Amino acid sequence: MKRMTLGLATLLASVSAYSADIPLYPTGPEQDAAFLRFANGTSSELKLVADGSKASLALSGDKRVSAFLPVVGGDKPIKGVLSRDGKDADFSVKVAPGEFATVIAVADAKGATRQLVVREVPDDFNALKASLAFINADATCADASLEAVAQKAELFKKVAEGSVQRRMINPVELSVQLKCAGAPVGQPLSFTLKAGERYSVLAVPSDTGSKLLFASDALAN
Amino acid sequence: MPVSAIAGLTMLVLGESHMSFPDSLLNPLQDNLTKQGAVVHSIGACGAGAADWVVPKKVECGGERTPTGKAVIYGKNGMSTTPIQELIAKDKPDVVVLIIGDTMGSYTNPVFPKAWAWKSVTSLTKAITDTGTKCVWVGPPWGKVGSQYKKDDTRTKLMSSFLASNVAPCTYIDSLTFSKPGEWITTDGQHFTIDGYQKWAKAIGTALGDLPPSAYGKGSK
Repeated sequence: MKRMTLGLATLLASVSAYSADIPLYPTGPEQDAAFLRFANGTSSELKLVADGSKASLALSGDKRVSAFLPVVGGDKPIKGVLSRDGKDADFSVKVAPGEFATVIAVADAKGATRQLVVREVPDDFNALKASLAFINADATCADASLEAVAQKAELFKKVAEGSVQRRMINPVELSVQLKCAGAPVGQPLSFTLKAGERYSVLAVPSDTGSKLLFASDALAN
Repeated sequence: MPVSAIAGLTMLVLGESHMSFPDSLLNPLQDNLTKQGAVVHSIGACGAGAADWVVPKKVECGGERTPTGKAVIYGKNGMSTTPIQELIAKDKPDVVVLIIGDTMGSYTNPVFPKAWAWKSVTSLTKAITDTGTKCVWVGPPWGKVGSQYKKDDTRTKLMSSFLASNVAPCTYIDSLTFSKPGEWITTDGQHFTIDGYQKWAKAIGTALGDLPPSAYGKGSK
């Protein structure tokens, strides 16, 4: 009985000591992170200048998709100017907490810049698998699908323009074929997927028909 | 008696407030690992989430114990975290052990900020694996529902499950398997009494000692 009493006293003493010693500390942010990136679905260089910070980036050649930039999510839009072939177009995008948004610039029938905004709220974070998204940014590609060539398997089916589908996938080398309305378009695109990484394949218009862009969904430092 | 898997290893153990006081995990865990034959350097930083070990952050309190020294406690604003790659370059550990979870559970937020947590966790695991160092991540234990930290079993389980899926290539140790909810007495819903910390330290030490040699890069011989 004496041992039990001593044990309880020690316990209560330690409770009291820790209650006084350890302060409250944060256990996370008030709202989730939000990210925004830009993709160039045109044949010319795309320049971006953000309002306020005047931060800029250029997308052309092999670098047509930016990294995801951390932004403040919520009701306040992120604004700036997209420039292509000497013509400017304003952009204004709201990104919700937890959202990954992609602004894709494509050329309309008259050659002017049109903006598509594709949004994702991922729930598939996993370090053992790769994550692959398919974004259709080409209005001329109906019911876009993406087929794994070697496996002869449809990874994504009937993706409408301005839409995205995403799936987890084993980290492997992959060759994919774009299909529009069930018919193959262009040449297969090959890439290697790594575990824990996230990627996107974008179908964008071109003078020679729909084509594919491959991008890592990396976060900007 | 079988030789522990950590015998002869140099270990760098980092954690949050659970590692910041002599009678929290700081002393009992270091003593346990040292008895198993490891050379251990422990650092705790109150409120530090994963990303706070990538870039320095000033913290409210902290503690440190070198392999041969006694615990040193840092008072209010007396400590900043040191980036993991600096610590690894200095200590050259065989393995980094991370005891981080409650600082990222966002217990007061009705929505778990997955995008933020993913960014934070992967920034730290990548920083470690870029150095070629092995790592083990110890997840959060059960707390007490209805406390000032708003820690609850559902979110704790979600946090643990999120870490289990996202800390690879670090090995994950699930602290929720060490006790039943409410079994270890807390002082404030989140921090344990001395008895609770001793039980948690013993369970972590046993789990680390029982991991396969491959977890520490030893390979099977």
